[in-house]
Amino acid sequence: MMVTKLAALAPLALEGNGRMAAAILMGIAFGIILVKSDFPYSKQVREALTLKNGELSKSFLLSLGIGTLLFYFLYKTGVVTYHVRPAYLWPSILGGIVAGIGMALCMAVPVTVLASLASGKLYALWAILGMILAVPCVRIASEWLSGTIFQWGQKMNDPEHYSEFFSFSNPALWVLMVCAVLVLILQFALSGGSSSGGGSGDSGGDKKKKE
Amino acid sequence: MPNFKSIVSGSWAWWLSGLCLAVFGVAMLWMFDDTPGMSDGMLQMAEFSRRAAEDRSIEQAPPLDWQTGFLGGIFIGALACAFISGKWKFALRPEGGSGGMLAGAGKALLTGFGGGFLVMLGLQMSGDSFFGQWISALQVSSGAWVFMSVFLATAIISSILIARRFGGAK
Repeated sequence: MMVTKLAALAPLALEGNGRMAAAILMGIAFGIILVKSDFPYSKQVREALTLKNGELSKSFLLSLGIGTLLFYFLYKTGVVTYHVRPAYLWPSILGGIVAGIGMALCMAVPVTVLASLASGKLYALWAILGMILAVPCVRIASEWLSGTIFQWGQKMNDPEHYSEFFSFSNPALWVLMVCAVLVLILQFALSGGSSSGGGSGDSGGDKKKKE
Repeated sequence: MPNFKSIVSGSWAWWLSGLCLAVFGVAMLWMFDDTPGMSDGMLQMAEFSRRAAEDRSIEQAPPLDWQTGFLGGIFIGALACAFISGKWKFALRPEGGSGGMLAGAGKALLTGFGGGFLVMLGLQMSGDSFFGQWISALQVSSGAWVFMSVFLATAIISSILIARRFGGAK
């Protein structure tokens, strides 16, 4: 009955003022989720990236696993549809390398840096300025990029949907299994909940109970 | 019985955060039926900043569409939540770094500016924002998974190397 009810739903596809209002409300919700999850705080991110604390990594992996599962079944019932930008192999790899180095330096990505600034971390302004400056630089270099990096390799295949979930050719199943295994490894290999002890961490005065 | 007070005031457990993020991501796809990456919003804000810097004045309000509205919402939500949770704390430099206040602030400038530049450069090369890549990864996009895997591996390796070379956080 639940599936039947969901099947009656189609993508909401909001337009106009409703779209704007929903975007603002969803942004507020996302800001809350980010702060509660400690993603905007450089100390926690640094501990996650240096493999000292697995909390953020587990959150991220769980979101990928559960999100993939949710999307698979909701796509099957027609509630959501695919919306993926075209991707190319070498630009994805090179972009990942460059962005990864940047992440190691500033401990933030565009959405988390906004939340970080909102949490009083004024130093996040520098990262925002750097991000804003990168856009015209890419525009200036776009002709060169179009003739070089963006010509390497072919467009990657669009996602395919497999009707049978428990099939070894279903990538969603593989994503779920890989995320589950990585979460288990992190759960047993890394400590958790130590970064905000004593109230002196980036997250302010909150006390986080150890799992 | 869930402890509602700790849910409101404290950080969430990793499983709750992961679950909320997953539901949120899919909800974005359902509500907007569009590629939810914020790269267009970032481009609009960058263009607005460029024009404001060239004109040395702000004559018009920043462009407002659903993507810039989403970014604004993130700021508002994070600000409110940080205050309510007691996580709002004024800081000129990341806590736990070595050196005095000025040295720390200078280091924050260099690493923040350089890091932010490289993050956005890499995202522009890959063709989408990080949020967009994450949402695409939920849809099992091979390009997004290639980007995410390379991004995380590089970030982890670079962070460990930087921590070993320059000393980690205290």
